Amino acid sequence: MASQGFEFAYMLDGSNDSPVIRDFILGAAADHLIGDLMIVQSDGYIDAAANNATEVTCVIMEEVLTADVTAGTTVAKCAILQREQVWKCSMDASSTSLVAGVTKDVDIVDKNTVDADNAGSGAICLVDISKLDTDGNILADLVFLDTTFGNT
Amino acid sequence: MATRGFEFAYMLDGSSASPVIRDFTLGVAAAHLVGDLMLVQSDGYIDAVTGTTTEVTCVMMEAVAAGDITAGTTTAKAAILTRNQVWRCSTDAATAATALIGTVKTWDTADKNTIDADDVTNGAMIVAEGEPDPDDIADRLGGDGFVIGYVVFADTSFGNA
Repeated sequence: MASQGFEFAYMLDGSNDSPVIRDFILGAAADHLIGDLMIVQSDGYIDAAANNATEVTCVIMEEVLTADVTAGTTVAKCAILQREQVWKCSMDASSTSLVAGVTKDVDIVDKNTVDADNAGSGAICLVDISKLDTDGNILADLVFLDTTFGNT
Repeated sequence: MATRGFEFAYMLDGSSASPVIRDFTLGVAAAHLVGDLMLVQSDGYIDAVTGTTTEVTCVMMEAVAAGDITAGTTTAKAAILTRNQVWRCSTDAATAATALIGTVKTWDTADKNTIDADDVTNGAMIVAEGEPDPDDIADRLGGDGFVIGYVVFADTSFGNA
C-alpha cells in the first residue's frame, strides 16, 4: 500500500519534536484527505498542492470532504511544515535516478505522491530512498526545502 | 590535544537533541576517522571534505580503514548535520584572526578535521562562540594551544536549496 500521502517520520536534528498542528482555512471546496500537501495562497487560505510544488505550508491532518467545505470559511487541522522535519511519502515508481542529498528540486505528481523522475521544478530533498512500500514503489524519506514559515 | 575532528557540542535552539546517525555509502577507499567532515557527491556517496568547504552533509561517527572500504558499497555511520547544531573543532593556529561571533559566516576548513584559523572567506561555517574581539577567539584553546572553534554549518545538504 502507498503511504497516506505525506506522513511525518522524524526530526532531522534528532529532537523528539512533532509537528505543530493548528487550524487553517480551506480555500477550495474539494476533498481534503489526511496527508495532502497544502500551500497557503495570496488570500491566506490553503489549497492542495497540484503537480508542481516549491513553497509548501502544511499537511492535512483531518479529512474534510467537498460537501462539508465552504471555501474561505471552513477550517481543517494541519501540521505546519519546517525544514528540520523528515516526512515520508510514496513515489510513483519503483526506481529513481534522483540522488538523496544531492537532488534538491524534486517535485510531486499530485498532493499525496512524489514524482520519481521529476527534478527541476520542485523543492524537495530526498533523505532516504532505500525502502519500498507494499505496492513496490519507493517510500521516500524527504525534507521540504522551501517552507512558508521558514523561507524568505 | 586537538579535538577529534568535529565533535558535536550542543543544540543552538536550546533543545536537548543529539544528531541523527545513519548509514551512508562511502565513495572513496580512504581512511575515515571519527570526526571527519563529509560531503555527499553527485553519485550519492559521501567523501571527506578537503581544504575548502561550503556545503556539508555529515560527520563520521565510526572509523573505517581504507583497506576495509569498497568504494560505492561500504557504509559507515555518520551524524547528519543540521543548521541548529553547534559543533566544535580545533583550528590550525593559536589565534583566529577575525572570527567574530555571528558575523563571519564563511569560515573554512584546513582539512576534513581541522578549521582553518585565518581563512574566513572560502567556507560556510558561522562562528558560534568566542570573544567578540577583532583579534582572536583565543579563550577557547585546546591542549595543544590551538583555538577550538565553535561553529554552525550554514550550508547543510538537507537544509539548503
